[in-house]
This record gives sequence, C-alpha cells and structure tokens, in this order.
Amino acid sequence: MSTPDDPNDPLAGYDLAAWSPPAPPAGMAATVVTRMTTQPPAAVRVHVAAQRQSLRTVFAAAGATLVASAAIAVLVMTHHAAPAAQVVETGPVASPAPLAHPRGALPAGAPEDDAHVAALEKRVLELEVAVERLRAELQIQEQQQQRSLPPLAPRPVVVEPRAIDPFDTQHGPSRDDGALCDPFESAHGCHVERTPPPSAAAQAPGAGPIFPSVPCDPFSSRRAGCGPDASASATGEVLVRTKPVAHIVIDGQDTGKISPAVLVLPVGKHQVTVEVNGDKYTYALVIQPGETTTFDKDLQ
Amino acid sequence: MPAPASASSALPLDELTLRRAQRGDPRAWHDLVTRYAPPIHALVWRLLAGRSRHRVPDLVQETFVRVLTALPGFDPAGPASLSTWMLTIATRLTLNELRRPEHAALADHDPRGHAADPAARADIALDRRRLASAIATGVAQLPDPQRAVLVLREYHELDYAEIAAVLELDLNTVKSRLSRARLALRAHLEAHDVDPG
Repeated sequence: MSTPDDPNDPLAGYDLAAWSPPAPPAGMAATVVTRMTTQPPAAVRVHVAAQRQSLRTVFAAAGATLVASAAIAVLVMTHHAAPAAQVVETGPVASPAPLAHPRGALPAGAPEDDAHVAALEKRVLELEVAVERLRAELQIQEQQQQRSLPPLAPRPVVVEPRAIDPFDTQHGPSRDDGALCDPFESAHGCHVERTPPPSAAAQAPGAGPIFPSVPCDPFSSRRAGCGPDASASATGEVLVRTKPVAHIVIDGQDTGKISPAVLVLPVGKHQVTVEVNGDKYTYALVIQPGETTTFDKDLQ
Repeated sequence: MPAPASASSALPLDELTLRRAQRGDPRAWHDLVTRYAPPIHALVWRLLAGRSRHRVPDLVQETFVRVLTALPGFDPAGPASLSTWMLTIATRLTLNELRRPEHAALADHDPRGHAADPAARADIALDRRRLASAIATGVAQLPDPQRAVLVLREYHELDYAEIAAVLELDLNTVKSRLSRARLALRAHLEAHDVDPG
C-alpha cells in the first residue's frame, strides 16, 4: 500500500486488507434515526443533566443562605431583646411552604422540569422577600430598643488621693469660692476633682477637669462621691467609738466630730487623738484601702 | 494488494441528500448512516483492536448521533470532506473510549477477529487467515496513538495532513508515529514468518 507520501513503506508487499472487519450490524441506520427522532441527542442530555445539577446547586445554596440568615436574625433578636414590655411583635412571616419536589429528586420529564423550575424560582423569590422583611423588622426593633434604653450610667468617679487629703492644706481640694478647702469646715465642704470624660476637650493637652466639683465632707462616707466606693483604692474608713464620748482629732487636726463617728481617711498611718474632759489620748491607726477599721476605746 | 475497506473508495454522499440531512430529514439521515456505516464501523473495530468488542456498535451509533447532531453546522465547502469529518469524530470518540481506565480490564478476546467467526470466514484461504491474524495481533500490540495513525493511513487512506488534523498533531509527529508503527508491525509479521500475501 505504498503511496507517494511514503515511498519507503516497510509494509509494502503485505496485504494489510486481510485484516478486515465484520460487516456492521444490521439495522444500524434505523437505530440511529430512531435515537435521533425519539430522544434528545447525547449532547443535549448532558446539557440538561448539567442544568439540573446546576439548579440543584443554586437552590441548595439559596436554602442554606436563607436558613443561616434566619438563624442569625433570631439570635440577634434574642440577644437584643429588652424586657418583655419592649418585645415587638414581628408580625406574620410567611413560613416556607414545602417544596413540590424534594431537593435532589427532580422529575424526569421535560415539561415537569419546566414547571418544577418555575415553582422553585417562585419559592426562592418568596423566601428572599421573607428574608428582606425580617431584616427590615430587625432594624426597626433595634432602633426602638435604642430609643427605649435608659441613659448611660455615669462613669465611675475616680478620686485622686491628693484631692481628698484633708490635711494637705497647701495642695488640697478647693472650694467653690476658690479658697483652699478646710476639710473640717462642714459649712463649705471640699471639692473633689474628678477624672474628665473622654471628650475631645478633655483629651486635649493641658485641658483641666470639666466636671463640676461636688461638695464633699471627706470624713463622711454618707456623702455622695466621697465614700469608700468613690476612692476605694485610696482611702479607708475608721469607726471611732469611745466611752465616754470624745472629741476626735486626726493627725493633730480637729475633725469637729464626736464619737461615735465614721471617718474617711487616706490610706496609711495616722494618729487618732480623742479628747475627753480636756484629757487627750493618742493612738496609732493604719487605714487599709477600702476597709473599715474599728477604733474602739474605753476611757472610763 | 486489494484495496482497503475505506470510505474514500466509495462514492460520496450526493449533495441533495446531504442538504436534506442537514435540514433534519430522517430519510436522508437513514441514507447517510447506511452509506457511511461500514467505514465508521471498520475504523472503530480496528482502533479497538479486539478490546471491548461489544462496545463497537455503541461507539458507531454514538458517532452517527454526534454527526447528525452537528451536521447542520457542517460546511461541505470547508477544509474537510464529509467522510474525513466523520472519521475524525469516530476516531476521537474511540480514542477517548480507549483512555478510560476500565477499558484495559475489558481486553476480552482474540484480536484476530476472524477467529471469532470461523464459519463465516471459511472461504478465506489459510495463508490469508494467518496473515490477518498476525496483522491483528501486531496492530493490537501497538500503542493507541501509533495504531490510530496506522489505521487512518493504511485503511482509510488519509494523507499526513488529514491525519494531523484528525488527531490534532503536527505533521512530523504523524510521520514519526507512522514510521514507528510500520516498523513495529513489520517486525511482528516477520517474527511470525507470515507470507506477505
């Protein structure tokens, strides 16, 4: 079978046609024509199968997204739910109706395919609308809750230790009139400087405190802003009880108090002097931060 | 040497039938399949070389289904003739079948083919049957790419350029594969001491 293309054919002389195939099976043409006329060609079938698989994937993803969105919405609503009085009815939300065909079990017929696809598309649209409605209602609820929340609690007051040192007359807290504070002058009280809030003005370099000073009796824990809660880390209390009653002097300064009395003192060592009938009795006292120390003396 | 059983040796499909087939006329389809079934069947049968013989009718059917499906887009004035175009589809389909991993396990058989139906081949002379058997076993032992080139060239009379187009190879690759296939087959035939016929 040598040809001009291959003049040196090594198989020249061999009758390769001896290896001949059998005749094609009878009815081949009829079979092919029947296949062509009764069912879509393989390429079309592959396309349809791919479309079905693609649709399954799309719907599965849409369903998963919807479930996840609904779960997140429920969690968020539960987390942000205020007291029962503030719970807002979300209103009726269309719950997903069962699908005409379970996912993954598409019908085989082409007309059914179209109807099924149309039904699924309609369901997806409905579910998307339901999700959007849930989101909108969630936003409304959050806004309502923000409006109904009580105002923020004031920031905890931090009292600088020096500011309430009643015995530091040179650098102690000032009064409203600007004069130095006498901590034992109950008529005026003293002023405590508080830590400014984190505002722009307060954070500016050199900016002073912007909170107004609050009159304070540093030796009275009953006064707001001056008790151990406000300066728990820097002060402590002492309960002075004597028999008979005595005038109380702390570190040489007359407190103007008569036992029994509770005094707030800076943390550290102090000298407590009680005066009874002109007699003075002095004792050492250590104030622990945030604690109440009992000073109990029987002077009879 | 007898002429090979090839499509190109027969009359091509007339233009009117081709046009009707392109328009989807079932009678024209029937004529087209009847006309080209023998060469397509022969090509598939030889490319499989005895492996998975039961798949031959399926592959031939599938080839024609694809041909008829794509027929409206076929250009008779294009670079490929209708027969070459159909051989291309059949060759690629069969080579894809051969690439399937389970295909090796289906190596049934006797690649000689004639031995499968001795009664039908009773008229074939003994020497010719020996030659056919030797060719069948020799071709079956060739690698699939070399066998495809050899079958298209020796049994379907495609030239190098057409083979290159069918198999999407460059011309030199076609030549080298054909050369190696021929040498291997000749060595096989000489080893079996077969008379050239």
